[in-house]
Amino acid sequence: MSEPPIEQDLTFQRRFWKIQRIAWMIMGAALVAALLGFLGHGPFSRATLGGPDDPLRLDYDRLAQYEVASELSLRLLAQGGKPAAVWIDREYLTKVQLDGIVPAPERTELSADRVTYLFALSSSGDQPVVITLYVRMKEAGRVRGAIGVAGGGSLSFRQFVFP
Amino acid sequence: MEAVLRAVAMYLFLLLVFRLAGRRTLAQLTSFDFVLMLIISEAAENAMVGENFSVINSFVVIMTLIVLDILLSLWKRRWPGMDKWLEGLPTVIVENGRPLKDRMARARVDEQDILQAARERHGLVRLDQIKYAVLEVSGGISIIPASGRSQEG
Repeated sequence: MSEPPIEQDLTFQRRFWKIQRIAWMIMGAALVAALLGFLGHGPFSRATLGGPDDPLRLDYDRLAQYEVASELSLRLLAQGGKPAAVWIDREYLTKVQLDGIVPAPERTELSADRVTYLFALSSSGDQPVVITLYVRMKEAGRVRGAIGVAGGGSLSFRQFVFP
Repeated sequence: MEAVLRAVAMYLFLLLVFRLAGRRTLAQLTSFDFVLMLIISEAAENAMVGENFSVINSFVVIMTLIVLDILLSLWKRRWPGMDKWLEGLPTVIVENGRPLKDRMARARVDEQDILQAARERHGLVRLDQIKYAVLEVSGGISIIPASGRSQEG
């Protein structure tokens, strides 16, 4: 049987088919990773700093995506009567767009390195309250931030933002 | 500036993904493939253009894609070896009426696809009427009828 007069390169073709199969496996693995949240905004990407007994607890997205909404949920123990002063470092606020804070703070105070939000508290004793900051990531790559309560400790967290 | 980077990233990604998906993926526009193309173009657009509605951004993105295309075609001319990697080569899948099963399996082509191409192009109905069937770079199948016979009804 003579060779057909058509330009083909079977060695190359077989090698390419093998590369193709490997690529399919990689794509499949990437999909599974995405479903699990390894590429942001899934079960794996949400993290918590601080245990159930700590005065401050932060739920945040350790893996986020560029220009996608993300939430920082801070749980703190309120001392009834005094307003709670929650601060966030200014550096972090330059890297995200703050879409809203729930509940809305009573007052905002600016200092050189941080922004402090004051929340009025009802006077019914010490109880845990949750403040949520809705942010939108404005910078890709590694982002570092710190959040805390005036006179009540702080938590620093790191996020990785996929472009 | 970001628009250019996004357009380049999207173009290269799509090139890579479709090259690795295989020739049969975009071969024929059945309704399934058509839907795939439509949806992929939507998904690509979001990342390239985002919420930027300015005309200038669209211009930049479109120019980036066209420039990339031109660069790629120039590069292919300087290094003809790249053609193999970028577009692939044809593969013979039927030889003298005999289907080459292992190649067909690897290329995900079945006998039905070959017979369909044979009917469409030459009005042939049986494999033994085919001298060569070639899976082309485009994903289409070209048929060379066995000598002395063509347009057999």
